[in-house]
Amino acid sequence: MLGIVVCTHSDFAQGIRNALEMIVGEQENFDVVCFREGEDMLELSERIKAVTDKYEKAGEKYVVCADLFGATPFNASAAALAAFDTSVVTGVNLPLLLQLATEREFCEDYDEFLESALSGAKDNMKVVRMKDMFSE
Amino acid sequence: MIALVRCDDRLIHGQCMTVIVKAYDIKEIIVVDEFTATNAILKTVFKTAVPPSMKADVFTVPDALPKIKEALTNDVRTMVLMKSPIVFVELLKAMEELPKELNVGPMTKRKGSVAVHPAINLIAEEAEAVKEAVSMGAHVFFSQVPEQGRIEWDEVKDKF
Repeated sequence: MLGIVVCTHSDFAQGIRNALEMIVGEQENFDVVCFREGEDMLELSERIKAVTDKYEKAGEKYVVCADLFGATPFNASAAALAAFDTSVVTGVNLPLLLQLATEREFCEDYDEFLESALSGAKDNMKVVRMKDMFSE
Repeated sequence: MIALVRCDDRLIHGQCMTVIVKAYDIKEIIVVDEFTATNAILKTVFKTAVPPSMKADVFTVPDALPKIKEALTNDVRTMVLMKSPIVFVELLKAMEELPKELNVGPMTKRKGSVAVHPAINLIAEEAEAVKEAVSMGAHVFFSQVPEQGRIEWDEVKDKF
């Protein structure tokens, strides 16, 4: 099964894991790496690599979900995974993780799977005007 | 032209960067960092964070000097970015024409660091470098983003 690694600033990764598991239950092949204040980018990078190594060794696919493109969790992920044939998805949110977690056992084409999860997550983000929602 | 000389211990990163680039209308970034300049992977990682409309490259101190000189004579609004005031002092010593003004941006809280601002923390070596830069006639101010205003070295120097 495709591995999922979530790497974010502070406790967000653990929090979003809790939220995800509240909805779909406990997850296997799922790791969180929380970037801590004062931590060096290369230290964080080493921690990410320690988690993704098991997938690389087993030749299994995995995806790293980082919170912000261009920020340290992303930069550290990219530095950790530069040599590998894998991907990092940025802007992690609950719709994205829900789709990745619930559909990963059916993943056939890795790239397509990620693109589809990303577009699903974007579709789930909406401005819902109460006036419009509750008008006659 | 050099529009801003700044240090930020995360170099090019996320949102703070977007704000600074807009506020100073930066078109080119010269990053001066020995470690990143000599590591091909990190160099690519940092360049990836730069919007496509922007030119950015990472250099060691000696390699940065001609780039900075060139920027001083053209009209491309350029930012010189480094990890710490220590590098600023190295540049000051190596280059008479370097603009004598340093904006100290976000600096991570580390062991033994002292906070100038919640997001700007200096360890002893960095504070020493600021003192040296000031003694060489440089104006050093602390500011994460322009909207938050500036803290002048004079206001905080007694902390060190």
